[in-house]
Amino acid sequence: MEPMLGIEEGGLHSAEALLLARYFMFTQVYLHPIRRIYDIHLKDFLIEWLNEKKFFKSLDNYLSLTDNQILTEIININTRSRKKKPGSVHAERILKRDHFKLLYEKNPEDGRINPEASHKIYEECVSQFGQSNVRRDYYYKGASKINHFPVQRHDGSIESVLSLSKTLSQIPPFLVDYVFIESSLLEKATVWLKKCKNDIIKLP
Amino acid sequence: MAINLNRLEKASLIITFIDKLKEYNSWGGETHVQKAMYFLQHLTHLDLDYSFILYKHGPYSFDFHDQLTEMFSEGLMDNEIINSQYGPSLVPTASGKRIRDHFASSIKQYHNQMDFIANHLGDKNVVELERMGTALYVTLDGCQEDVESRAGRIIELKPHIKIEKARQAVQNVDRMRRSFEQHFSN
Repeated sequence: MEPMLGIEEGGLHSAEALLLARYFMFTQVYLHPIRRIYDIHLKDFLIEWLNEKKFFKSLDNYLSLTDNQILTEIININTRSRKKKPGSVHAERILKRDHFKLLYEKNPEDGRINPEASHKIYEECVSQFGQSNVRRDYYYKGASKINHFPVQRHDGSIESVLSLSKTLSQIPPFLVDYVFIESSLLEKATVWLKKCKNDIIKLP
Repeated sequence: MAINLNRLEKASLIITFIDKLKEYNSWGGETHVQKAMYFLQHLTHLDLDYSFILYKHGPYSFDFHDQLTEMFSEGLMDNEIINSQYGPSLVPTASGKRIRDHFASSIKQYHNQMDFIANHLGDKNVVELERMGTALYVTLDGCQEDVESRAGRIIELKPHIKIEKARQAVQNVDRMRRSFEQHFSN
């Protein structure tokens, strides 16, 4: 067996607290739908604004590009005279806080019917409302590797933390699977989805 | 040529394969399943399009690892701690079993190949699987030479393996290949 980093049994509760805090940070901050959709809008802006949809090949030019420059560009791009500049649509969304709204998120009930439920709903949304009006955000980070470490017990024996800590064995993986829709279409899309969801997600 | 299965059909196949390995007493941890999948793909020619490299404990596929990770994220599989001294065992959830059964007819034609591999590798531990996996790897990697040369190649790649164990692994793999050709060429 390979050497692994572990803890003493006395530190178990601190380890639990740390890993729970990490879980809450991820689920409530990093993976919050509003944070995620603004990431997407920013990426959309950069793809259109950057030449050839990529960052500079020259290292010096790349390093000289700062957050300030991009934010300034987002602000300036949104003047009337420059309205048609590449990226202006996405810049406006960011500036006016007109982000795409959450239409659907993965849930266990739909997942039990079809593990690909979110993917199917996204595809049908695109077909119904157009690619430019729909976005999907999928992120998964498994917890099992991080939570499986050895604990040295008071008597010197070594056990897996997962058998000693019910808390850590129950921490779910970090997973989001969101489907977002352009804000003006949210009401229409919600009605449509309510009507069609069961047909969309049923297994072939 | 890769066989044509969609994602959920592949998931059904993987779960069925894990079930079969366990029927033949496999621990069913990711390492066991990785090595068994390597044999399924490269010995029985069931091409699921996972690319394998020689990694820390023998052949390993990051694509296959990603597939397993997705199956965890979709609630099709879970980890079970059977013995706290060892790593977890992969187990299908109720949803995983439902998907396995729903697509059972799509993967029925591959049962014999999965059964063959499970039968030959099910009772092997990770140390034996590493040796055999590396033996198959050097054999397929253009090293079609005699047992001694291939065993020598194994210990070049994995110096912690003793020469007699490497030799044994090569012979076991050759036996498996012959047995597969005999059973499946008719």
